[in-house]
Amino acid sequence: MSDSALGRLVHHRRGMLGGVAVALMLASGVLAPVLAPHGYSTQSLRQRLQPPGRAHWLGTDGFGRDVLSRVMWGGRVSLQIGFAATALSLVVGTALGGAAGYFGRAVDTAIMRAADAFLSVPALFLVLVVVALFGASLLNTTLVIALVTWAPAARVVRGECLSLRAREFVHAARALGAGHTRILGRHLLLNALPVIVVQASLMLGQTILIESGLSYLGLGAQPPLPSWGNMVVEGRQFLASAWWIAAFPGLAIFVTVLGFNLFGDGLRDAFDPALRGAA
Amino acid sequence: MEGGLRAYVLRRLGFAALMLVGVSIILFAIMRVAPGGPEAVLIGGEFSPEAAARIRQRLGLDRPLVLQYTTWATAAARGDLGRSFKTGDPVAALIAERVGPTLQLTGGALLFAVVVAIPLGVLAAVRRGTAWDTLGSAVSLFGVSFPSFWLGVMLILLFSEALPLLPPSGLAEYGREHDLLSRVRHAILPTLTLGLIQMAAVMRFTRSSLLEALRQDYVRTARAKGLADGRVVWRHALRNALIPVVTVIGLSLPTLVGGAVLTETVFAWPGLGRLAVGAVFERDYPVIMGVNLIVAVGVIAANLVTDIAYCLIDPRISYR
Repeated sequence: MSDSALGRLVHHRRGMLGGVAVALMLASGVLAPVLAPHGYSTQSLRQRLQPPGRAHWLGTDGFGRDVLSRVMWGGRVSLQIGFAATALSLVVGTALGGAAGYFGRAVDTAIMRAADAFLSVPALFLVLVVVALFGASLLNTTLVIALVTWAPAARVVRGECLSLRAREFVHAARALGAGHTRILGRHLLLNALPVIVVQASLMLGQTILIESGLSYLGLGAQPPLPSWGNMVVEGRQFLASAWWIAAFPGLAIFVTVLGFNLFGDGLRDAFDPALRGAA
Repeated sequence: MEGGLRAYVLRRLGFAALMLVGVSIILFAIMRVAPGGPEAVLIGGEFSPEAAARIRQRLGLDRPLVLQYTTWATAAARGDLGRSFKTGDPVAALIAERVGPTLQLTGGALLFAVVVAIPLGVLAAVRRGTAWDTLGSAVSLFGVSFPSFWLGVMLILLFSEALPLLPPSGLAEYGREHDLLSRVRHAILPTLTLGLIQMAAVMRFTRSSLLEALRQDYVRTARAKGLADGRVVWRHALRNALIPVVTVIGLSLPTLVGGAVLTETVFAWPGLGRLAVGAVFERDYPVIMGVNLIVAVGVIAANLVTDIAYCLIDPRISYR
């Protein structure tokens, strides 16, 4: 990242607001073992369904477990899966999108038609097929989210590589005898990095939403391990008497995803000021 | 031009057919790479090699892959999606029962999103840089950041628990399935949930597309002729600005249908999404595959119609 891009990011108020929100949520997840006031499965039936108060800032659930502690621990699961799925999806999407954009012709057609086919099936429906066949586990959840999110990443990287491959420095590299791997890796993808970073930030929000949706359906993290999605579904049954059980984990998802979206917008504006406010 | 349009439609139809083949191959391939293969899914639990061999023979899994695929795809094309492992009912019949509520939910949500998002997008573009624009941006940013299932739960909390105005679940009260009022009351919260999430993208694109249109020469000419601002925006600029918005609506259909899975689960809405989720827990593979195939066909068909409509309403597009 160039100094000027970093400078623009620092002065991008909404981007920085998003960055701070993400940093706080990350810190609360990473430091949950140290900062959480209680264990995520520590029960106290005498303390069940306590509203938010001094003893339990975000109240307690139907088993008397501290909601704040579970939101912090739940963030670890949601964020871990979000980061792992995004990384995997980006690796696959970048490799395939880069190859499609650089080689063009049959390679481009084959990869992009496959991407179109993946985009034609609503992601959650495809996820259901895979989870039904392979079972629900953190690893499977990560893999399946990557499976349904690589195609948009590939499209973005392909578009960038298509425009970069016609640039003079690529012709120069080719004239100097650089091979396909070197041109693609060192010249195209390295120059496409700002676009990939922006895409990563926006994708993180999406993967966290998919993970929490899967957990809500009971197909993600399995109780007693908390994830934000399965906490909302647990809170659903106490909605009339204890709204806080469902409200706070959902709020955590919202703040995190909003943070990633704001930060992604900030990064995009910082890398390419011409796009500021374009969409 | 008509010949060109016909050729374009035919090419687009061919492309849609290709997409469908691609989707069916993906679904077929996922089943084949399942641990233990389809026979493990069918038998479940422990099984002897002999039992597996019998099942493989019965299902035709000992035949070449290409032949297996064509047999499966041909049957599916004829409407034979197999039978539910759990109930033994034809999958096509189960889907036919559930497709109506899903169409009602997604259609209603899309209509709500378009009717609310377009005026909001116009307002944000026309009053660029004002509080309206900020509000519009906030609504669209919040829309893409809200987990739909949580929004649904919070709407239930507000409108069914705190203010008991609307029912929290189901298609209608028991025994009143044909009562229109009961159905409308039950549809409000799920439609709002799905529609609110959906309207973010439509609003965002209406705003940016209208801003682009307002910079064009024909808008300047219309203003120079002394036309009222409202007329310039609504009659001239918006009509052209809506063209890319139509495409965005088409592209957002998979998200809309995917969102229906969660919305149907939150509101116990008896649609295809709930059918698929129930089938996952039962490991009822033919139902899951059937629902996926039908949903993909629906999305591809809707995109096809969008693309063709796009060409019909925009004379600048060449049919290449």
